[in-house]
Amino acid sequence: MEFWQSLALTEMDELVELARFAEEVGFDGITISDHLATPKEIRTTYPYTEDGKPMWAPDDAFPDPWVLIASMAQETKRIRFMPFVYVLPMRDPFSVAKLVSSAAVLSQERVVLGVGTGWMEEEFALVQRAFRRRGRRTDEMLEVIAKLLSGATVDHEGEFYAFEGVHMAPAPTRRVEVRIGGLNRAALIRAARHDGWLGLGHSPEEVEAIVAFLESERSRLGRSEMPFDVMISHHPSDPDAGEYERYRDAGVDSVNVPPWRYRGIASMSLDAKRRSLEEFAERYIVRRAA
Amino acid sequence: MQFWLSIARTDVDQLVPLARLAEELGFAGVTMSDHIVRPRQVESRYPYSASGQMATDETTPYLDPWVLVGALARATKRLRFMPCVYIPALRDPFSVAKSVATAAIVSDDRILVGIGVGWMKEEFDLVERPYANRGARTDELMAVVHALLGGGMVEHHGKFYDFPPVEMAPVPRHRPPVLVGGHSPVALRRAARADGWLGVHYDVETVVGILQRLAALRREAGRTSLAFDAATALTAPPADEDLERLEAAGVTMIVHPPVLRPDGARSSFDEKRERLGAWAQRYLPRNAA
Repeated sequence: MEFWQSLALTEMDELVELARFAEEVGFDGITISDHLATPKEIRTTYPYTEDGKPMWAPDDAFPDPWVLIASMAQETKRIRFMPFVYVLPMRDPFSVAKLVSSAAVLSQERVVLGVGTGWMEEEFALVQRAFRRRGRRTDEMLEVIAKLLSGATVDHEGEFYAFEGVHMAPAPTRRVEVRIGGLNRAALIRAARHDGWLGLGHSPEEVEAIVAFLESERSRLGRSEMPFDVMISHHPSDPDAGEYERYRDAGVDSVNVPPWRYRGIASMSLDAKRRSLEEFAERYIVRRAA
Repeated sequence: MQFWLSIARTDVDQLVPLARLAEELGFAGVTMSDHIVRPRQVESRYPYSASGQMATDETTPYLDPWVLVGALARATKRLRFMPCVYIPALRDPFSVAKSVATAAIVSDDRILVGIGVGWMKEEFDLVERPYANRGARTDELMAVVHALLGGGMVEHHGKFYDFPPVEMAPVPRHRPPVLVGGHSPVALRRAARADGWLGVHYDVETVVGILQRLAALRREAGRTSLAFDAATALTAPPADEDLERLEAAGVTMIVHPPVLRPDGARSSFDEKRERLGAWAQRYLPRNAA
């Protein structure tokens, strides 16, 4: 399994050092969350907590993922970076492709585009993008982004976007991997058409059912032989219970280790965070490699 | 006087080494340009060349300026960064404020925000932002960005943007200065209300004339006592007396244009090192801290 560390809700001045240290102790990647701004009053229900309230405060830091990735890439050599997740339909495909290609060429192409369709209607209103039909728009945006990132002069004729003879430079030399987050059927179907699925906290049994669905979709699309990554977010409550082994057997390829704040740790020094990464790696990553 | 270097029209693999070289040689900062996409057919007239054509072609790399700052800030200690120019009206104020805030923080406040209202209508059409009202929209957009960068709950009820209380985080300790590019009367009025003016490239006479107009506009606006930067490239390397005139007129930053081959093609890193080394010897002892 691959192990990625989430650096969501982590102090700004510690991010680059934590990415560097995570690479040193053996993590495979870093994930970063994305929010433009948080309204004082959110009427939309947050889909990922029991009480429907987001688990962050308006003054919690959500830096721009692509600017941050370019910084972290300067201090690392191997580790990969992914927004978990970048809310695509709040943007236009040209701006996204420009940000992704810039981060890719400045990181030796170590970026993965983690995509979600978003849930907070208020945030879409802020940027004056339609909330309705955001799923269909996401699908077409991903087509447009893939064309632009190819580096060729491209045309497009679709439901939402139409253009001729457009060129983006620089372009990465390799295709940028796209992974899709979300728990509903539409998100899973979308994920099956791309390079991976991004899950949250699930039991191994839930994962098994999701993986079975993803595999049937991928087989229907003739994509069974293509690489595909299933990622969940999980931190074991009991280090000796073999929880990651059970997830691996259920079909999980990668784990996104939740940030300290999501594990109920309100504040922690940089040193303590480094120790926590080191202990985690020692227990779950190094032992596995040995 | 500060001496800056434009790193526009530079091959991607040279960007980080070039920023390091600029810092080593003593340049105060680097500027970069901004285009999101490039249509094959550009009907819009480029306002900064006699021919109305852009000098760059579709192979010229344009990186997002703030993502580039993210990388260059880690590769340098002191060097400052300024897009020349960033086009806010191609974006929404939240995306602009988010990028600027993150770039300011990861660079320890080493950025300046050089903006323009844009000229390539085709690019506005592609990102589905209106071209016609881009000037007025840029003004209101930058007011929203200013408010968001202050932190805390912000609400806004304007002509183009209208939203209830929201908070953006993180924000930098200091709001970066905003410099406005362009030489049209309306661009100069916009610059006079901002923290500075950004020129493309002019001869010394033209720059002195523009600075006189800016000084008058700033007097009218009652802003004479506030700090004001003026940055420009020149059509020819300045002599000592030119520098004195420019400094007296209020120019604070001279920008070295991108190092190119005589035919306009992109240069190798060795060519850049040689040409910039000679320039640095000639001018950089004068670089103000």
